[in-house]
Amino acid sequence: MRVVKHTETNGRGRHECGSPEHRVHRRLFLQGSMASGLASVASFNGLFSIPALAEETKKQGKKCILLWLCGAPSQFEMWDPKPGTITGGPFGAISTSIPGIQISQLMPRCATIMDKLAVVRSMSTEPNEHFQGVDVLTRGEKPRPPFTRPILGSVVAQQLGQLDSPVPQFVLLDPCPEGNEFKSFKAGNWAGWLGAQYGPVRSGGEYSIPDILRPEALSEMDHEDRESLRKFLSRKFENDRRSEAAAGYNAAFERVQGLMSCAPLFDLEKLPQADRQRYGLGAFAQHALQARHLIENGSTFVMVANGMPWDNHVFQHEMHQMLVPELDNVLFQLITDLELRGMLQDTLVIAMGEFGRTPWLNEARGRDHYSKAWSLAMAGGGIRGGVVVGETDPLGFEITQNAIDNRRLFATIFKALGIDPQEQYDLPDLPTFHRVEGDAQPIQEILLG
Amino acid sequence: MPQSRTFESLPFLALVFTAGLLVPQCAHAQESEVTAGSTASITDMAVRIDREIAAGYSKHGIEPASLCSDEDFVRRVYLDLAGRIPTVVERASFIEDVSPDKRLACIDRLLASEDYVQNFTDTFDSILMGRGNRGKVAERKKLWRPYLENVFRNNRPWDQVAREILLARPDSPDQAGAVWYLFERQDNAQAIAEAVAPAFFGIRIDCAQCHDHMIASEIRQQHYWGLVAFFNRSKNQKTDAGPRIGESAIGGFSEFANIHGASSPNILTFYASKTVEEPRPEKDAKQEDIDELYQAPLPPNEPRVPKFSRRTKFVDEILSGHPMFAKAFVNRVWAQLMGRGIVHPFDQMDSMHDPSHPELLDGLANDFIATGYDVRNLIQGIVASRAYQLSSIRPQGVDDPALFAWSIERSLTAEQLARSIQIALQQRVENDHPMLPELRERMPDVMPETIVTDVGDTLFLANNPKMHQVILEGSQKDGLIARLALQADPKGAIDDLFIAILGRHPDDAESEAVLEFIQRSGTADSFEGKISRWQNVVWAVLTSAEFRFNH
Amino acid sequence: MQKTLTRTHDFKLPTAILGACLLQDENELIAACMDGVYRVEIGAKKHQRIGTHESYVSSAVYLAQQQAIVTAGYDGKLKWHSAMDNGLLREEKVHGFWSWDMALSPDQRYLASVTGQYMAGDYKYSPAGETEPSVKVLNAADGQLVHALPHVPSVQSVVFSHDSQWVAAGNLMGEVRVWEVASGKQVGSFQSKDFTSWGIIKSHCYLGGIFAMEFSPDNNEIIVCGMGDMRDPMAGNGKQLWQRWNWREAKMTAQTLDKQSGEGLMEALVLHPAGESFVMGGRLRGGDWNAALFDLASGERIGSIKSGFRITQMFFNSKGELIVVGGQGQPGKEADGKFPDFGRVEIYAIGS
Repeated sequence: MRVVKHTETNGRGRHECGSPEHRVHRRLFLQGSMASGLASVASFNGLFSIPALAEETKKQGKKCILLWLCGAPSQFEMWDPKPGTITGGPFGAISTSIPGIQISQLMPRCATIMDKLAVVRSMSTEPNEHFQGVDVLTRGEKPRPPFTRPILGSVVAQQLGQLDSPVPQFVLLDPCPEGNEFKSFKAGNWAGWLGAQYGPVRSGGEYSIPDILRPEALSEMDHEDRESLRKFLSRKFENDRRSEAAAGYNAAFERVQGLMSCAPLFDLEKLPQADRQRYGLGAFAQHALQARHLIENGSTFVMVANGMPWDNHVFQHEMHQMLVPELDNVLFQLITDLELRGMLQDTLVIAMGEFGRTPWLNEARGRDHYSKAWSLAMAGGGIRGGVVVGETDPLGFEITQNAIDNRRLFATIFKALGIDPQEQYDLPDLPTFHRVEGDAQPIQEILLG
Repeated sequence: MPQSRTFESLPFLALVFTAGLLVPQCAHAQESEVTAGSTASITDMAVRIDREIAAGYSKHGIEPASLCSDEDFVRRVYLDLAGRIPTVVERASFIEDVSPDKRLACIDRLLASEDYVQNFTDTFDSILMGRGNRGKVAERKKLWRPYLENVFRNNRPWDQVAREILLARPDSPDQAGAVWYLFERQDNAQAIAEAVAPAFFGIRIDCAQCHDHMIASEIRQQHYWGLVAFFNRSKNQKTDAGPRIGESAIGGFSEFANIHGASSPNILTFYASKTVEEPRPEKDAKQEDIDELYQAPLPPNEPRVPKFSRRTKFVDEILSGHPMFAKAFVNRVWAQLMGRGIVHPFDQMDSMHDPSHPELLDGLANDFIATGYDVRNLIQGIVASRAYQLSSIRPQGVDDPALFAWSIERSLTAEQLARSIQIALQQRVENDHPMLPELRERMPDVMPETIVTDVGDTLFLANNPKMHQVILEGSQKDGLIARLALQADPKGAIDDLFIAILGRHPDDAESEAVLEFIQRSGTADSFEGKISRWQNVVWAVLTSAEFRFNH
Repeated sequence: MQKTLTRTHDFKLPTAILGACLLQDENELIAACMDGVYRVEIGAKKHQRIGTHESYVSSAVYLAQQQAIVTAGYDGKLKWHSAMDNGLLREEKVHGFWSWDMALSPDQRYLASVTGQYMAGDYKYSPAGETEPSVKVLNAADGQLVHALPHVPSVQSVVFSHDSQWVAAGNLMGEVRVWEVASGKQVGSFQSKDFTSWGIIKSHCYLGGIFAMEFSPDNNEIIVCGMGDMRDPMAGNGKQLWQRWNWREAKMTAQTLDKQSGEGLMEALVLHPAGESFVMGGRLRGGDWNAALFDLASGERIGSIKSGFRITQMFFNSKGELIVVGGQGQPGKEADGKFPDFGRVEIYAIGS
């Protein structure tokens, strides 16, 4: 396996410009991904092996599930309802388990666990188009070419990932191969300067880990037997000539059995029927359940998406009447399950998109992109529940209190996971990069302890 | 370094003298009496290589690995030139050959073979086009591949080839496929520029799109947009004669902005070259696309050619005589055959990446130019060198691969792997084997910067149905597995197994391990049981690291 | 054969109109708006809000015998308002979810209202089965429930036959079910796949369906409308589509002719009183019209308008003039201390 450094030195103490990136580029070029938009994250050659982590950087075993509401959901139909106003839309608001906090009537189940949820109603970010929005809200920072900041999942997996787990540490569950701008985004470089091995393993829908199952005609015994002979011969070659290439090759083979053993984690059919019913039968809900399953079994970061269904320029209410209740139930089930399993305090659940939707309705009674004032929610991990951060005006046009940008959001997420937000990346001779730029401070009121 | 250790291998010793090389007994000695003539012969090149490489050993006070054995050589040179391992017969006839110049003869024979044509076509196809765009497979096959095959089959001069590809105005049918390089990029001038820079000049300019290169500051933003401008008037045209690249006589003027917001005109210029003068119209001035701007009508079916053609200017004034052109090619072929470039990575020949052997790079580039950009001659020169023929066992205490003190291991490409598996199991090759498309997709690397084995690669080898199918095919009549199972003497079978797959005899430990495996369990008695056992053995040898790498 | 449609009158209301009806003398119009029920003096262009629902008001009908207005809303309620003094006469909670559409039988005896929330029913988001009856038939006079009829949510349009014998309801999946009003017995059904999109590009779920319907003059066929298939339903660029089905035989007999449609969701469809043509309207996404008159026999488009706003409902008055209601996009900011009006009513004279 590759030894991983943030950058590769060229043996003369100098560092190459985005060298890992060039390598990724070269491979993407070879795969034709640059041209045809093939998803680079379709490559599952991700985080099966984490380089040895120094003990002190190995945090408390925290984990994270990101429910990625791609396309950008409407805050009015979720966390910041404005019932009875001209911008409020057709859905009402309901009370929650926390007096004084109301959310959309489309979220009755979350209303019962409001004490576990932290809602930010004052997200205010810059990009107003999907690609740029996705970029900033998954990486935490605007791009600064040619450097590519790693995506949240890559950072978390690199920081918190388990060295010896056969289970992939960063998983993207997204059954939709298309997705317009999200498709282009998926074809890009997710792991950035951390290196491609911190990219996600993709599964869901037509995506599965190729060749994770033994050929049917081969018995399990034969499979193991022949591997022991292979190993003997291959190790002998490695040892006889101290071959680094062979060592890497053999190490990769060592992963095969472990990975095959986690094949069931990627098989939706193997999930308990009762759980599948409980989470909801749509792809997003099923993969959210799978995310819980993966986290329980050793993954560190699971991102769940389903294309970009939230981009409702038309059929806004017709779509949100379905998408929001699905999310409502998923959040409820996930948070409840994690709590029942004693995992909630170590597992951060985030539900967010790349921005919000306009207060006004367009002619198609859809809502358009709005990054000026929007909402998201988090629970578990190091997050304090029952708190609403920030506020918008009565029609939801402007933030009236405590605007939160992408940097403060990321500082909060990292802090909640026990990762130092201010730490500097070890990228000598290159511009100084921090995990979160601008000394942005986490949102203290929703952090525990 | 003791000279006595230099010629451990008798065949090489013989080769050196019978080939008439005036190389002193130490291949790395400084006092070579060879004088480079106006045309660099293969031997001149080999001598130059060994002189410069040996100078590096001396400078660092190290001893290189010994010369590789005939067994190692024949496998290595077949993989490098023919793109596959040798058959049992090819191997045996080479080993048994007692003629002193058999290595050179073998190189000559392979370079004249159709296998060489296919192998280099594969590699250059990947390097120039990438492996993707599966939607265009048919056109690539019909146009582009035959063109490349013709290049290598007829050993066409590389400068002419580059000119044909980048000018993309075929004046004979056998050049028609050259247009595909630009055509497949579908009028995307940035994609063209980003592909042309590494492929023909050995530099990557992607970073310079938004600003001057952060590290290699000699690569400037204006080089990026200048290169784009040479191609931004080009437009795909479908004609009755096939795909063509038209070119407009007007347009293509724009400004590019750097990250600070300052904008500059996209003049026709490129890295380490000059600026082609072209009058720029006033901003907002409307240019008229009138007939007078084009050359008198071409034959029907051909797009018209502007009197001021940016592509013509590019090949005449930028490409032709560009200081990086020959170096980039030499460095890449070197990297392909030697495991890393003299500048590494081979497509980042910028100020951040110094050559390990600058005189060698210059010398080889000059030789390449002097021989009229003779590709086969260059390959021959490298492969005939002692540096190429070193053992792959790294000497104690030597760890810098840039010294080329041992033969650097390289992964077999998807094509090499697919062909070699077939040779091992069937002793014959089908170029478009059913496993190849998936193998290409799963193991796309060609000349990677570092060898990385992903778990996906090993999963493929362990579980992929096509891989499984190949083993089954090898179990049919005439297949290796069937032949092994029919053999009465298991020891002899084990020997055949190692020769067929790894090109060597097993040692005692290996032989014992396999024997124990074969004799275990009662099923071995039935023929089916034997087949099943041998299938597992063959799989184990095929998927051992030794087979996976060229060493 | 070609007809001209000439705008003779127009006015605005504060918010978008989702449905409307005329009062008896045809000088007044009731508009079901996003923010309540409006009563409008057409000639004077004067309006007043006479009632509200807890959400958008989606439909309005007029009961001549009782001089009452019935409105339905996204709060799942039906409300009876006096046409004399605008007072609220009765309200019934009919559905747990929206009333997507409500219709009055021509004999004025029955109301039918349809509901249903689209919820994920499987991995690919086929709609889940209903959690409440999707179609309810009520006595128009007293709101008594007559029939609760099953369908697959969401049920987005409902219409009675001209003889008041049948009631038909169409849903998200393009399925139309027809019942006998007297017995509540289902007597027919058909499904058109052409109005529903499964989002290949961005949204792996279903969108679209049938948004308006009308029986043919002989009641043997039903004309349905909506929007044609799209790879990305959120583009809203499907074909402006109508289809005519023999509902007893579940057979399509005609549809929008080639090259006679632009793009956009069609959500209003009504027969011309003369029975020889019908008009369909909705949103203009691509093309040059968003409401058009079609010859019933040939299916030819014989006249069209480009209203500049999304049409949600259309109907004819007794003079044969076409009344068109709908709304523009909602203004993004206030002007002069209030949001500019974005509900629209227009009246067109049809000439030859």
